[in-house]
Amino acid sequence: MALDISITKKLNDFSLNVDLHTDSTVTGILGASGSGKSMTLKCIAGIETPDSGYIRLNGRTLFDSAAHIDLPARKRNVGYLFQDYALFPTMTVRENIGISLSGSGRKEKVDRYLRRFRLEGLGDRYPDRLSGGEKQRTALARMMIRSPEVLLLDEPFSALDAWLKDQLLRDFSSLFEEYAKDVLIVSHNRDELYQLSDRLALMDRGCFSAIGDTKAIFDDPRTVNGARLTGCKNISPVRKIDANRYEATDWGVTLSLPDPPDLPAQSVGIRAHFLKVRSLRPIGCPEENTFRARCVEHMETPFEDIFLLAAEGGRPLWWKTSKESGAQNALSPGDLLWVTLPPDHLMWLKDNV
Amino acid sequence: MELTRVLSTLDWSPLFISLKTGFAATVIAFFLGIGAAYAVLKLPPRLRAVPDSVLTLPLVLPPTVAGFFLLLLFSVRRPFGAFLLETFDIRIIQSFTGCVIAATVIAFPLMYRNARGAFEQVDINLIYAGRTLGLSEWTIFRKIALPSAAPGILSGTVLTFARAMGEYGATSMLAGNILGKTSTISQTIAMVMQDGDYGKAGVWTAIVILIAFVILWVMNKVGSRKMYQRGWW
Repeated sequence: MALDISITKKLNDFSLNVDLHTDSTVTGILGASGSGKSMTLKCIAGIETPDSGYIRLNGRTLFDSAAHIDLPARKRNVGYLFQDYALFPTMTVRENIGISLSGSGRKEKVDRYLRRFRLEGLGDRYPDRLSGGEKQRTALARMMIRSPEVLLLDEPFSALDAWLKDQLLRDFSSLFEEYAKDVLIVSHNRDELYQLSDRLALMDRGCFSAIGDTKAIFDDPRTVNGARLTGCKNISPVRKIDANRYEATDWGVTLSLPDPPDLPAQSVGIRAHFLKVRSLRPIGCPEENTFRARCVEHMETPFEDIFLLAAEGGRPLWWKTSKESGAQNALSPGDLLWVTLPPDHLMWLKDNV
Repeated sequence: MELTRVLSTLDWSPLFISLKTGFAATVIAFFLGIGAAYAVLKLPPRLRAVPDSVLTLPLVLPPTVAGFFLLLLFSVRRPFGAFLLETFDIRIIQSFTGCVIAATVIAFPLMYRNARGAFEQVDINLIYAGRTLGLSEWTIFRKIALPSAAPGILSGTVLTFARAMGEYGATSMLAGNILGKTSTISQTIAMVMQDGDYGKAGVWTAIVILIAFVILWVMNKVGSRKMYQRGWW
């Protein structure tokens, strides 16, 4: 079970340039809106035609510009979950699910899928009388009933509220486990993809800037854009001072490193949770990468405190800490603090792909 | 009484000829209009302009210009009309068939444009979803595009019927005004007014207004969205 893609397609202001090889895995594609994620799925499904390249699915050629092969969408047998689910409004849930079936045994099969996707009792409803979750399950049932050879999911959760989404993420995990073939999920939400995908590809203006094991990508997103996509709040350009020292120019901080990065880094990033912040100077030998910073702003989310900390003359860094830690009581804007950027949490980034 | 005099001597044939013409022209324009609309929308956008203009032309031109072209084609003194008459013994001018052809040509753009607008409103993702589900283009048209576009198509059909029934200019040129054969209500009103017969013209006008109200009522009914959920089709 494998999906082999190498395609190019000219879009309005950049070119889609995708190379992807998956092997019975759940692959997430993370990218900003308009980066070409959905276009990639549409090319695989046969809704859009690439300019050149090839698409192979489990040994079948779906598209090959050199051999003039372009299988129509209806013969590709891919499952496509549309962002707004694209349920047929003039058909009931039952008719939607069964539309691709014909012949005997159709009713029984639809009944089985109604049960499997917890839609019993809703079979005679029209889509506009379904909740968001019910719509999604109907669309999933309609897609799965054909036993597609690959699942393409386009922003599957963007139309759902947060509470429902958390419930559904678990359903999706077990669905993928049962399915055991290739799945591609496109999203702009890093949390969804972190939970669902084994492998992750970061997309930036039509190209994959990084691709690999999901956790590894979050640890090392490779590019500035990748760091932003994976939610890194603190990114600064760097200037090399000597073999072991870099200056983070935005923050006004000098970083010294026991083992410097092996690539020619253009920027450095650190996630807001990994800052170490103390009100007193660390005792004993001076810790690496520790500097004096002033708290310039305090913000809150339900479970976290967010502080903006700026070194003298530099732009502020984000620090996020759980409310349990009690930092809110101990800190207020204007306070002077000692901030440490632990070297193993620094991410070295290139500016472009 | 003037009214009873008119009613007792009234020849009702123009009403039936008008209705028959309206129905026949609507049936023809319905299928041709929907087919043409779907076909034009399948063309690449830059190729649409030419067929689109040609198919809309009868709506913008004066009906007498359409009548001119129809006579050019069907007059028995012109090659094609003569050919039809000699080979198949078919005579279009001065016949009921001529009434239907004139009404169809004039009313067709209403059907075509309404159907086109209705198809354009159909969410393109529904069509894509149909394709990824392995449905043939014919099934997609029949089960997805057509039902979704149905309210717009139906109101187009009603407008087409109204226009076809009231056609005057092209009809009088192609089919003439032969009582009991090609004399429609519109032509009858024009004719009796030449004699200054306000009574007769008034009665026919009242009948036309009545039919117009029925048409408007039907349009409001079918134009309301989501009728399919009330089990109308």
